[in-house]
Amino acid sequence: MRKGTRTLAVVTTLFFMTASVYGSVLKKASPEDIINILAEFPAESSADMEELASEILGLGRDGIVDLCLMLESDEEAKRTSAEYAVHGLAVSTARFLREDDRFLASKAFIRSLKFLKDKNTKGFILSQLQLIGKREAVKPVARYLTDRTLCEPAARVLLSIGTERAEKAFIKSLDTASGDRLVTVIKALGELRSRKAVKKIRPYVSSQDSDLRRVSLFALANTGDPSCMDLMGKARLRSSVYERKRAPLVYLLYVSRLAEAGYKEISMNICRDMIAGYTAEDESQISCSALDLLVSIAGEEARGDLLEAAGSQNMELRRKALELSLGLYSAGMREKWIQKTKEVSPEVQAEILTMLGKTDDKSLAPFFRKKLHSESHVIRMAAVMPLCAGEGQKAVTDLFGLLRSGKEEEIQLVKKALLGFKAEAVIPEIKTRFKEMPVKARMALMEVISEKRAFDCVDLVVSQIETGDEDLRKTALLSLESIVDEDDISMLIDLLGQAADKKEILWLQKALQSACGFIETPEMRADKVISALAEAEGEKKLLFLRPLSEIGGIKALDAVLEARQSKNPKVSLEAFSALVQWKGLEASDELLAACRETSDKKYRYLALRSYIRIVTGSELDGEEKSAMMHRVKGIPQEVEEKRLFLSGLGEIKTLCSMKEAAFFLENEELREQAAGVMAQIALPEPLCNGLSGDEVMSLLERALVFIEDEYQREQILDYIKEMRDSKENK
Amino acid sequence: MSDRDRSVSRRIFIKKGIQAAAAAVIVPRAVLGGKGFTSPSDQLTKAVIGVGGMGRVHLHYPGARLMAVCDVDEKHLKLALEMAGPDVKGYKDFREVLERSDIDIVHIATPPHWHGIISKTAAEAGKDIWCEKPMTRTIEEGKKVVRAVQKNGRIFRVNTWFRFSDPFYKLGSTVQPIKKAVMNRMLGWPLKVTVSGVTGFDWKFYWKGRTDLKPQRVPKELDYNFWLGPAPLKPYHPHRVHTTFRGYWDYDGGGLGDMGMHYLDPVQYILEKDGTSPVEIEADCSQQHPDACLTWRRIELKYADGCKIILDGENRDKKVPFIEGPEGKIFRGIRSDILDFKQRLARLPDPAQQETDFSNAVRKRKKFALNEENGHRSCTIVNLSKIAVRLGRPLRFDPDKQCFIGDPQADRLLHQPMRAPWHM
Repeated sequence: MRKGTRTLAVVTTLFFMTASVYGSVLKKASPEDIINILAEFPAESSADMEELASEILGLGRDGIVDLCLMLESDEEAKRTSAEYAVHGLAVSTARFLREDDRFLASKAFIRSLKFLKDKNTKGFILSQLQLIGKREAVKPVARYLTDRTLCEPAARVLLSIGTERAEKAFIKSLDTASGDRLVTVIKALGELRSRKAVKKIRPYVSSQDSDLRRVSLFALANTGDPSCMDLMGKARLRSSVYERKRAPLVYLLYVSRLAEAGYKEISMNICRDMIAGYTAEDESQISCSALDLLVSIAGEEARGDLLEAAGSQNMELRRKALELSLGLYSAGMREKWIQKTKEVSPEVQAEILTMLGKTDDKSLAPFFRKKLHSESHVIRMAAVMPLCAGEGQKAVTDLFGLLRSGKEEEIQLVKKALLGFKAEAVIPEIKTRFKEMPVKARMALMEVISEKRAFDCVDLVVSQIETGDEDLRKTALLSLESIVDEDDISMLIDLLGQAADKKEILWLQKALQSACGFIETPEMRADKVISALAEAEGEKKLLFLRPLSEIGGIKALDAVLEARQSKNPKVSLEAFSALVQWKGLEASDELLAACRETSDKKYRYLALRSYIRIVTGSELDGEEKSAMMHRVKGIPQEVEEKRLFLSGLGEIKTLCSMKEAAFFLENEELREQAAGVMAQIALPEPLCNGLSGDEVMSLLERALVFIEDEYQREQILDYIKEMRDSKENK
Repeated sequence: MSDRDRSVSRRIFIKKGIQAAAAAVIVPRAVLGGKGFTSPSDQLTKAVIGVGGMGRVHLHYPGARLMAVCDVDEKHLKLALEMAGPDVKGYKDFREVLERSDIDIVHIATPPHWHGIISKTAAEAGKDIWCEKPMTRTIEEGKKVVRAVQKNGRIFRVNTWFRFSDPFYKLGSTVQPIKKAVMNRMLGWPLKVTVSGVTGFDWKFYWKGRTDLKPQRVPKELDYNFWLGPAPLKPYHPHRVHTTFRGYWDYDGGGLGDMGMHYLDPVQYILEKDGTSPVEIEADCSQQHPDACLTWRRIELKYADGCKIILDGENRDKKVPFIEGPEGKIFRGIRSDILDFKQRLARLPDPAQQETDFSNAVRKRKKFALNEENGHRSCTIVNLSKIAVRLGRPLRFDPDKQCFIGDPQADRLLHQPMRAPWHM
């Protein structure tokens, strides 16, 4: 074959091979193909998206370009679909092991930039290149660094690529960039830590433009180029208050980069100078930052610096030093830290103890134990948790020593510490040492007994009721609820019978309710309380009525109803109070009767509220609840009663409830609430489906007139549309 | 008493309360009484940066005297100054706020795309920080905030509190009993947590973006360029800013971004994962729009030890427990299949104490309960979920290096270059 012919054959072969990679020459996508693909967006699932991505890739490069051009379609729907399609392609093709697809998509996006007219659209394409662009995108995208609008999105693409080529593109554009573009480019070079750009950036550090000045300083600091040391040092003398305040930190950034470049000694010295130099309280962050950097550079070599800083007058620096010390703690440092505690004030000692308590050094236990007996209150307090962390249950006995001191803060801390142990570890010790404790300590220990539900301590707690100390009595009574069971019912009835103070009565009633709850057979739970009620005379009956409403059951209800008939008005009223507190559905008829019979607005409201609460909270199904609510329909007279009724309807997802609520749309005062309730009934919720049907749609449309909240309206409209679509599809 | 216990309702703006509080500062000690009184010279001071909806709630948070407010929207600023009273100064540029040496704490209540930069800059300016959630918009920003806070010896907290206070949404309890059960291995190990409507959590899918935004004129009171800050420049539309910014990836992450830390930080705490991150993440969702956040169906995150977190947006399983392990389950309402659960639980050790008073943490330089470290980790759960939703494919993550394994494109979403002149 002659040379020319051979060359032509090679070129032609290469051409077709390239074309097959691009898939662009042999198969041109028709507008219809593209429209059909767009119609499938957005994809319903990732599997669908993968299929669609394959179809788009099948269009070839030019087909994808044509698809990108649809971003500027006259029709909004097509534009939106195109956004989904282009973005979906970007997301899909950037997966692992899909380099060919990614490359095709990237090249197509780049090519489309030539044909798109609107800069916002070009910006959109650039944002997709930010996701998938690599080497092939650098040169074409770099051209946009000269464009005022597109410089920024182009810079983001190049930063995402982040290669040496991208860096070169930025450096090249420095020569012609100005204004905002210059700021963008210098910032980017700073983020890339470009040492090659240092010389070009230097002059801008003294620019009059504050943005340019700041990014230039940041860029140079982030390179860590040693040639910038003088510049960095002088920079803090320049310009605004904000920049002067930030200058030391920018300098520290520079020092950190210097250290990374291997200039360890000089970096450490600078850090030490800054720790020593920035001592003012409002400069603490600088000394803290310098100390942090010193430790990151020097590691264990900085232990001495940390010891010294831990004794600083500046609390923030001390705390920082201790925090960093934790990471560098070793057995070898133990004695040095113990020695340090002898050289500092009690407050600082306490801080060191707290730090040592966070190490896993179990051998510090004797040290902490000794500190528990310190003359200083803050040191004693600081020793508690470290001792517990180190010794576990063994620390419990030591803690009781601290309880005897009687100081409130220490007692509360010990209480918290005791709660951090299992009941088995603390209750025996409490029982043994309770009596030797002062009053405040006993109170704290009873609270522990209560929290731990130590049923075997009932007698101990009850013994504190009649000591004559009011605080002990109160704490004891409060604690009973958590620790009594059915064996204590008689004792509680006796105590309740003797109680006069309102709060004490309430506490004992709660304890009684709790105790009765332990009786296995529900029908028998109220028996002893009912007997006590029957035996009580006069106003003593009041004491036993409230617990019955909590205990519940038919027998309890009967007893309360009987008390309602009492000639003693206080007993009758208390019985009514018990009735309106009822939990169970068995009281519904009585409450309904109370609503109807009473002419007193307040009592009617209470009875109505309780009825609605019981019905809506019951296990009845929706239709049954609706029927129950219908029984009270005519009762609400006042606006507040009607509001209650509406709220109750809102809890019942039935068409019937919705219709009942619709009735109130005619009422000017209540229509807004009624509309909201109708929406609440109709719309789906996590635990139940929404209502559906023509009637529901019609009612919702009526309600919509009175709903102003934009989001609620959107939800309702979406739901109406969903119902309509569902109906049409059937 | 924790900060949260003393704080007023999030949605109530009590102008008079602010004015009264400001007035109280100058009332003599003799009138206010001895114990508990803090003289003005000892009182901590604060500034609030970002005084839109949530920011104005920060004006009322107790513990520090309000000195300054800052916003790039003049209307917001004006309203905040009216609420704050005459002794408070207004700013547009947060850097001027940070210049002031008389401000101890900055509250950051801007949209999330600003959280990272302002937190880092504030730390470098020597301020302690109270930052809205999500802590940062990207994982890389979070790492930088952690570094800056720790390096500069600052005290940091995120504005969510369910790991130490308040009933945990509609779960029916505080987190404490669940934490206690887990740490004492009552449920066994590993564990699975489901966060869904069934277990008491609403993913607020109404925080959706719109895909049909047409450019509109920027209102004169808003410095839109400054509002955007580090985010890409896109034509103004009111739906992008002020409340509805939550629906856009450039600024937040939909309901996931808005509520994620509230729900997932306590879960992380319960599962003892404060120092690590999930290693596998998978999302089931329809394709996401590049600009607007849309809904998702389900996200699963798995830790190296087998613990799982399921974010269920469809409430598929109506009977799912909140948390379950090989030896027991806890359902909404703290019901459990473990016999005598509450009694057994009471007798076990309580979780370790946490510092829950931010003012005390600042004064005593103690790490707050929800600080930069564990806050970054729980925010990372949110950010990993966002990336999984956006990419629609299973991901593997290295919790120590904090980067993805075998997915460079996902790595490009760890940090997105900021618009100049902003950088971290």
